[in-house]
Amino acid sequence: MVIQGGPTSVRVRGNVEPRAARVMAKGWIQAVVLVGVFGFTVLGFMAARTYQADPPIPDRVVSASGEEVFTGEDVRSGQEVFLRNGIMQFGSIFGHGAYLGPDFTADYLHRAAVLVEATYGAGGADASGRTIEDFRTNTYDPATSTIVYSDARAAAHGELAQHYHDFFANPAGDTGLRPAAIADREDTRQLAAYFSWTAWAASAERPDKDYSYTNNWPPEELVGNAPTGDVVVWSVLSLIALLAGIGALLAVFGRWNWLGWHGRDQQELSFRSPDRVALTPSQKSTAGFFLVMAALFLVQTLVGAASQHYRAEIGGFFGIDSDRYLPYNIVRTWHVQLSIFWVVTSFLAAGIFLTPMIAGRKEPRGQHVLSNLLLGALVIVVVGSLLGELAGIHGWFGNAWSWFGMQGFEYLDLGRFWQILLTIGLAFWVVILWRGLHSRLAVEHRTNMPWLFFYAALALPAFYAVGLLAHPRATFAVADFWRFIVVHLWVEDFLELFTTVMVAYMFVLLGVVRQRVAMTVIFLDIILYSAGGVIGMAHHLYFNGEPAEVLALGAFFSAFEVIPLTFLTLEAWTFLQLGARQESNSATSFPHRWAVMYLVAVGFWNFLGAGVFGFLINLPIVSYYEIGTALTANHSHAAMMGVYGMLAVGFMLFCLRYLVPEDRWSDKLAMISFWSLNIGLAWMCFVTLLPLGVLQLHRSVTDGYWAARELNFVTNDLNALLGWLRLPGDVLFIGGGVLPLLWIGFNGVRHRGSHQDVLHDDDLLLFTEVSAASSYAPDDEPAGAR
Amino acid sequence: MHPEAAFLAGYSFSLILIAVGLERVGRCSTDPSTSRTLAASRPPTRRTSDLEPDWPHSEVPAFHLGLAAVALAAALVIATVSAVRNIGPVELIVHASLLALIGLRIRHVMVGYRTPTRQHTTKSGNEIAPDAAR
Repeated sequence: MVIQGGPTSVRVRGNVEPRAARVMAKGWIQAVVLVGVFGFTVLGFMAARTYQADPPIPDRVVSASGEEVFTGEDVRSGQEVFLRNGIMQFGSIFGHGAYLGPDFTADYLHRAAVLVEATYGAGGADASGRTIEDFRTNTYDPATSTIVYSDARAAAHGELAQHYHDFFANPAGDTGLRPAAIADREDTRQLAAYFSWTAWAASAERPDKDYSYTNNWPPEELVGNAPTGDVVVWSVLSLIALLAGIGALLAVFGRWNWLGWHGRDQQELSFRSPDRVALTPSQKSTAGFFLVMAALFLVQTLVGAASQHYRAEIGGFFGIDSDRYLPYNIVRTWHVQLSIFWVVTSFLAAGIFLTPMIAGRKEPRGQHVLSNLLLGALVIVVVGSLLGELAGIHGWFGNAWSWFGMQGFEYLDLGRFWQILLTIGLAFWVVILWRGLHSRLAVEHRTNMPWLFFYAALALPAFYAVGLLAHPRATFAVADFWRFIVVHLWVEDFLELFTTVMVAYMFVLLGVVRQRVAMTVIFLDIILYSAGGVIGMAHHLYFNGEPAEVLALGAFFSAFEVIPLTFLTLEAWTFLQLGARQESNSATSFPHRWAVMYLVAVGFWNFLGAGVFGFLINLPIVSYYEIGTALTANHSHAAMMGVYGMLAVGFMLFCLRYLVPEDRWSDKLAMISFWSLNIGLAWMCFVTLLPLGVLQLHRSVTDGYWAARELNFVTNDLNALLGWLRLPGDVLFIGGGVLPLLWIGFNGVRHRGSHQDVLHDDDLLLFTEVSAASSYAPDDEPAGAR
Repeated sequence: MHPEAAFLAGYSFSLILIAVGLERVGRCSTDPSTSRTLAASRPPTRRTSDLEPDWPHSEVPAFHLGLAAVALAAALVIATVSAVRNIGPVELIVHASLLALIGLRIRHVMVGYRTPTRQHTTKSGNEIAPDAAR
């Protein structure tokens, strides 16, 4: 008996097409809705508390003797100076930003405290006590919107304004910023006012509380900043939540053996050779996306290497004054922005590629034209925004800097104009998917897999758009809340959801798993992500001016984020076995061994990079000392490249396997790329980032956070040497990992036209089932059967 | 002992431990048909204990030895750097011991990698060359 595989819904070509039955039982759908509603309700509560409890920006700051020190307008303008010059991509504020320069909140606080204590007679108990009282007493008067600084503190501010002017206006450079990066004295005065306000928020106690607006962060003995009870207690509870959650997960897996990826045992599939699978015009157009993706990946790694080079050689690049043309904050901005751009390019392309296969029929006319338009728009946004950022730090856009230049929030560095265009582009991509899918969606139950694919795609423009709420003049806590909706919720949750659905669909289309099994995994992932990921977003917000309850919610629920990561690790072996088992059953070889290997790498890095390295810095008590150190970079590299990067490459290889003709395809290149990327990434983490981070953590605990972030410490002999040691790994990563992908991508574009066109709907099928002795129920089994 | 040397030597030693752990994990069978650990998920119809494991199980030793080699290379680089930067009687003894240990482990990994334990089987049980299986 021969059964054709692929889409399973009933297709009736007529005016009335009955919808396919719901595959999942109602209980699953109710669970997803309930957990989702709970997660987003709590997120809404946290948003409200952010607006209610963020540190106030006063109208004026005056000295005890009545002289004006600076105004609220100076603080807001100072934040704008900070952002438009890309200083958040050099150092950090409230612990958030880049890792080369100092954290300016901690730096200002320490310097001010030293100066104030010196005024009071450094060394004596009285001087220490007076300094602590000076900083901890909250002198903000809501009625007059005024903060009063002691005369000693006002004098210290005057000295520090000069210090920061000297630092940013230094014509010699040697900081990683371009020489005389901010030379205008009014700009540096406003910048100093901004730093001073953040230091005030970090040390002044909240009304009726005995801790500061930042939960006593940063650790600074001179002003009496030490971990609060909440920081310690919620760290312990977070650990308990993690252990209980993992135990529950393993118990559930043991109890219900049907959870997870189960292959179609006892069936024999015949995989269609990639040459025999016909492609639609829009599928062929995705070759351009993958070439652009590989090119962006290459540029991202090159500017990443350049940014790392500044840690090893702060003055330039092997004797060249590179800081004049491509200073650290620019190469770091490009590195961070491109990490999103190239990954998203792959996801967009993979979505377009899978759509005709999901629809199971020929695509509407002009689909490839829209796809090419999207690619063109994407290139314009990427190139435009990157050049805009370079021009922006030179001040070429005047008052329109935040629209076309450097908007300056880390990960949302691109100007708002480009941000809006990118959102429109994502929405346009959803329209392309809708055109391709609507005939299939019309005959599917709204909780079935094609609709899940569409919902997951729809969430991408919707949640990316939320980043527009992060406005350069908003208070930092408010702007940071919306920024992390993009950095965390969009990247870590909704991209993760979309990729889960895509991976599931790939296996279903290949016939490796049943639709019901794939949907169980998707629903389980949604529940787990919604439980941990949505509320867990607050683990980024411990110390940026949010109230203690946000810290508590973030610490507790973010522990649950590790659980789906463990779940994915359990899946990693299953991915391999699924491919292997089907290959051993099929007369034709399984065509996606290396795409599957990348999924295995995703499982590994998800556990190590996101799970272990992420949880290492997730506890509030650890984050209190390490935020903004190389331990954060260690986590972000292992998680962003290890998970999303590997996924993006896996999607690329899956699609290009069909686009590149059999005689041009090289599994060897894919293998070289796979091992080079993984070994290079491991080298980066274990030889440089992890030991650097441990050294910084030690210094932070023993000497204070400011000392761990000091430029002199970050670039000292040992740290610079650890930076140099990364070189072999980076060379392997770029030369052995990225360049082969560029070649494969080039072959995809070069040979995309040689593939046969789709003449019949069945041409899109990826496998043929030659035996149906399965014990599994068919996909269209009525819901609730389980 | 200088704190920097203590840190780098300790970190290097922990990488050696990771490498040893990886080697040992690589020696454990992951094939449900032969592994005692994975007996619960053993397919009931499969009786292939007399054959070499299929892919991906056949790759497990090489995969873990490869990872162990990376960890040892990292340990070697860090220990060498520490030995060059920190010269003193105690440091000399520690670094010499560390480098000797790394040398032994690298030799062990190379011997393990050269040992022809990897074989692949087709569905019918016929052996094929590893490259052909890939």
